[in-house]
Amino acid sequence: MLKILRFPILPALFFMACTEEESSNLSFTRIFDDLDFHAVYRPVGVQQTIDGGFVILSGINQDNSDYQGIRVLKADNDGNIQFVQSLANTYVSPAPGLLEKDSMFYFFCMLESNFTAQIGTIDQDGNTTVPQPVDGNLSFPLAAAQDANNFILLGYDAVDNNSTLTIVGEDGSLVDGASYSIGAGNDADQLVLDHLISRDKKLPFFAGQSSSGRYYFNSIYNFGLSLVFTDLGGTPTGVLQGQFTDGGISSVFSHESGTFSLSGFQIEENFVRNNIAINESGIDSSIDFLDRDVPEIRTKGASKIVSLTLGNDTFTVVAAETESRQIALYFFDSDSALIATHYIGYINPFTLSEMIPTQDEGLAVLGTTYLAGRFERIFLNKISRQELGRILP
Amino acid sequence: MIRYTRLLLFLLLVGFVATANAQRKRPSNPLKDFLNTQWWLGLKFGTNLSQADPTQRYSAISPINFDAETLDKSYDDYSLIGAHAGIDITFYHRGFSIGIQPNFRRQRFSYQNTFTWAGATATESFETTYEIEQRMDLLELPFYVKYDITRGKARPYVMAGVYYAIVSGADKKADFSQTDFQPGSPQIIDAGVVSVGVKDAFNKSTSGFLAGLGVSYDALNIRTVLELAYRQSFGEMIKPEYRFTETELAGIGDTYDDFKLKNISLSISFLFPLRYISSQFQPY
Repeated sequence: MLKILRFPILPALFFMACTEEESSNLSFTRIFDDLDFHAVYRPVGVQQTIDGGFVILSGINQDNSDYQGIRVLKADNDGNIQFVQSLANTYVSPAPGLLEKDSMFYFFCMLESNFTAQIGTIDQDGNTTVPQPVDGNLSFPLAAAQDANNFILLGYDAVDNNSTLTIVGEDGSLVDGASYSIGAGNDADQLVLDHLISRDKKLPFFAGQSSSGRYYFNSIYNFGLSLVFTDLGGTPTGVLQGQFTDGGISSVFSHESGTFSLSGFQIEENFVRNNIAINESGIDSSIDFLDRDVPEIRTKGASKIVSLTLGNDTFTVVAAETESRQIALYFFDSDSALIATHYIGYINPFTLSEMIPTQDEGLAVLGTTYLAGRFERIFLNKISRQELGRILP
Repeated sequence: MIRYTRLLLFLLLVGFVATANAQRKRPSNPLKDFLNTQWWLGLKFGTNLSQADPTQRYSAISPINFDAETLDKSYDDYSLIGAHAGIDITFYHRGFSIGIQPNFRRQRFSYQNTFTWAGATATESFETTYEIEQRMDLLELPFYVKYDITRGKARPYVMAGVYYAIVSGADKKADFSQTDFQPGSPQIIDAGVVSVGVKDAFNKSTSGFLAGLGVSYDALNIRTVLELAYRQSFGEMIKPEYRFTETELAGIGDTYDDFKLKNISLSISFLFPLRYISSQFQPY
């Protein structure tokens, strides 16, 4: 009978079950809930902090204003809320784009009383300062990005009916800028106001700098939603024209190779293109990029594109809201082949606000979900390197 | 946890050594000695009740302006009936038995969670509740030692042992209901049922200890055993890396706590002796 004890399988099995090691938990989906029946959150930006946590810039509805106020949340690297701070309700409509420079975070918003652009800061712990006016009396900040040294601010000039692209220093100083007519006699005031106060009337305003060094912005230009390239001169160097607000570009990513990835829409058709050339010095039409309809994408829904490096491989990830109220992530490899699709969101609706690569070769997706189908709350989904390994073939 | 396993294995070792030493004694009466040793083989099946005992609470929801403890799930105690069936292989010697009982088990437990949102007035209030029914299928290999308190046709006994189990399947069913405290009477909304497979969320295997008591009755060359046993897993059941991954139920805030699985099983076994003196001889 003692021979049984020499048979190692049974004891080994028990010890195996007891000593199974815990893997590090890197992926998470967290929803930041607020007890307030009336609270509506609209996040516009996220950045990862040095400690691996996240700072989130969000709009939140206000009792006595049509414009959203500003709330900043700091979460740890597991997505647990550590700190929440609200700005004075005179500062409203945070522009999409939370920017990082020298370990500080910057954002643009506007003063409700006169719609002028303000620049605010957030430190690594989520503490904010009182936003300061941006030089030049800029108005209606709609989107923000950054180049190597400064910030890029897309705005709207309701007096002269111009789209404005301004290069702003971290202290709010005006470095450079240009204004471009939305079209003689055209008035985009209502479009801009609707965009700021209504989720269903959002337009894909954004700005950036291409690998060629040219600035670009997506806004109303020459009577239509257009992707405009500029050297900040009197006229754009190139334009990708949309069709009023019924057709245009939803998101763009400029690759170092000089090509672009983009998503867009034309009436009720939607397209995603990867590694394509865009003429930055000529006039073309966004409909030229419509080669294959992607019917699951929600027309005019939010879309974001990032480049993701995993080891020696580089992928392009296009995120888009879908008609089923999920968020679709389309993964393209370096050969421009669509190699995987991943969906975020079940049961309750999900919307997209931002997507960033994380420090540990993962991906963080920010947006909202409607708890109980009706309470719009921020969600943050971190997809770890391990999970990406399972998603990608 | 490992300490417990080692202690149990040590006790088992002591039991084996004692039994082995007893075997070395010269038999004074061959018939009596024959009756003191027997192999039994048979079938075992029964029902069971389970409970998840949370050791660390988690939620996919992170609260902005309320106490995180309000997100704690409420577990039901041994509320859902499961079942199990398998083979019972037992070696008996002088009142002690050792055995293994490879069996398939379906174990179930349940919990609820409720979320509320409130405004300035009583009618600006909304509540949603989900009730989760968790089911797990386990391929279990228990290893135990029994001691018969008396010797006769009816033999009450106590037993203890350890088990190793492979999680062969797991799913959960979420039943949603909502209450809208609108003006007038509150409106109760049946918000549907969702079932999802969750095997990937569980560790591939688990182990634990078991202890129990029972009574066997010998008649017609068949030993009938009625047993009540308690089981508890040594470690946590859930893979940490899957706790907050995007799942079908993450959107409602549901995720697993760390928990130990407890189970109470009521079983009946029908065992047949494997050693006979002759075809007419009845061992008991």
